[in-house]
Amino acid sequence: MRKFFGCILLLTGLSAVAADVPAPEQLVRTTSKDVLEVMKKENLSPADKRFRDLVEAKVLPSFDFNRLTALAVGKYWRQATPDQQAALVREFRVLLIRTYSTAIGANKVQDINVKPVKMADTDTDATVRTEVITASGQPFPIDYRLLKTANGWKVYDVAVEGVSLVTNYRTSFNQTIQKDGIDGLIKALVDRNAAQPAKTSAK
Amino acid sequence: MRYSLPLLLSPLLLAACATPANHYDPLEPVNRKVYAFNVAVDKAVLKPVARGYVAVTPSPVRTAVSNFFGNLGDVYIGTSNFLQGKWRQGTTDFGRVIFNSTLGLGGLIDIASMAPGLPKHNEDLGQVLGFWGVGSGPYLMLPLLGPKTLRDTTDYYGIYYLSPTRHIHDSATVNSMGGLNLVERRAQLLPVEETMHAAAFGDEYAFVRDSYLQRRYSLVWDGRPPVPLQLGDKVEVDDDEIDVKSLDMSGLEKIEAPEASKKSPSAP
Repeated sequence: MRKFFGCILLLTGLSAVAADVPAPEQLVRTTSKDVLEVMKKENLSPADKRFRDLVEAKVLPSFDFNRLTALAVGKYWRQATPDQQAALVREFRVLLIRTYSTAIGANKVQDINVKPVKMADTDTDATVRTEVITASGQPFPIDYRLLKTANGWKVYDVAVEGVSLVTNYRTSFNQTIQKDGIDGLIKALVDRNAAQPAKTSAK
Repeated sequence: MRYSLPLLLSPLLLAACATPANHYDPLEPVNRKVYAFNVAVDKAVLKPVARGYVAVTPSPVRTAVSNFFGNLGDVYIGTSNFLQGKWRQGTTDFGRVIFNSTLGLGGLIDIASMAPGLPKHNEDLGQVLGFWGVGSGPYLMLPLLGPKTLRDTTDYYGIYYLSPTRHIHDSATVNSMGGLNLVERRAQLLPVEETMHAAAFGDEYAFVRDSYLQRRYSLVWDGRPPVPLQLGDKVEVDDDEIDVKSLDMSGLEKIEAPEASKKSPSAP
């Protein structure tokens, strides 16, 4: 029943202006709404570069990609030079935005239902749970973990069906670093990002 | 709430040959070979069949097929809920079966999901054992069947004993139903696969394994685990250790952002 009510709230846009909503929830709500709007209005395929750019523009301000990348790289992060760190963040961001665009495109997302967050005013860490309603199949959960930073609340990990992106990438990142070093990982990410558009356009 | 029953088998196996990358995968060398085999079979047979099925089957028919098998599965899901003492959820599962089998024309229409308060749940025997404190045990890559943990293999018994199709004695019917269910389930994975391909980086086997283990762990805790699952050696990545704030990334944002806005109007 609450879900139903939540849907109606979301559809009418009332939720976004509610005053007593905690900041992290508000952030996820606004961002989800913006992304959905882009999807419905533009009717673009997820492989489209323009679609990814639009999604990126909407999602970018809510994410702390530095922290996300640092957590995924794990113990090797401190060994990387600032230039290497910047390159890692840049390439990882491209990969993540692409994944996110594909995920909402391939699953034909209809609606994103953000669940109410219960938290204290003093909390600096929060998890916002959402339920993604798709045209086909069961709804699936996406959880966002946020941290209070100097620039406001920022997302530092995303878990799709309980699968944390940071945890998942850490394994393969560490394997690559152990084999080819940090520059090897950067190169692998660059190659990976360059290979993707060629593959989708050939389809 | 959850009792920690000692599971004899898994800690022994794990202690014997834990790898630094993942404590749940002591059989990694064997698993990798089976994974390669599964991928080859899927590519050659299952995926083309699923693609063909999607291409020739109208979407309402697919939904009906999926609903039909989903309705049979609700009996198993409801039982799993009862076995965890989740009485309310279990009751709604059987309520779903009653609604869908009658008003939903023998399960072809998932009429229950349209009603508020009767959502479909995700439960199985592996989750029942997990709920009562049984550890997942080692990760297994089963030939043709895919990833499972030792604990979750009990699922196959659960599906077998609690499926209403067990009472159909015509083997041709049972086999074709099984085949159709398999194809439909593979077809449902096509969008998941697309996402996985966009996300995958580096070692695909590890990616699948880590995803599977985390997802199962999350399901056991109904999406709210107390702590994240520790897959490998403990990597302490505290905020103090990673000094992200000292990193000046302001230039990066400025390079990327105008590029995106510049390109959008020019595209058709």
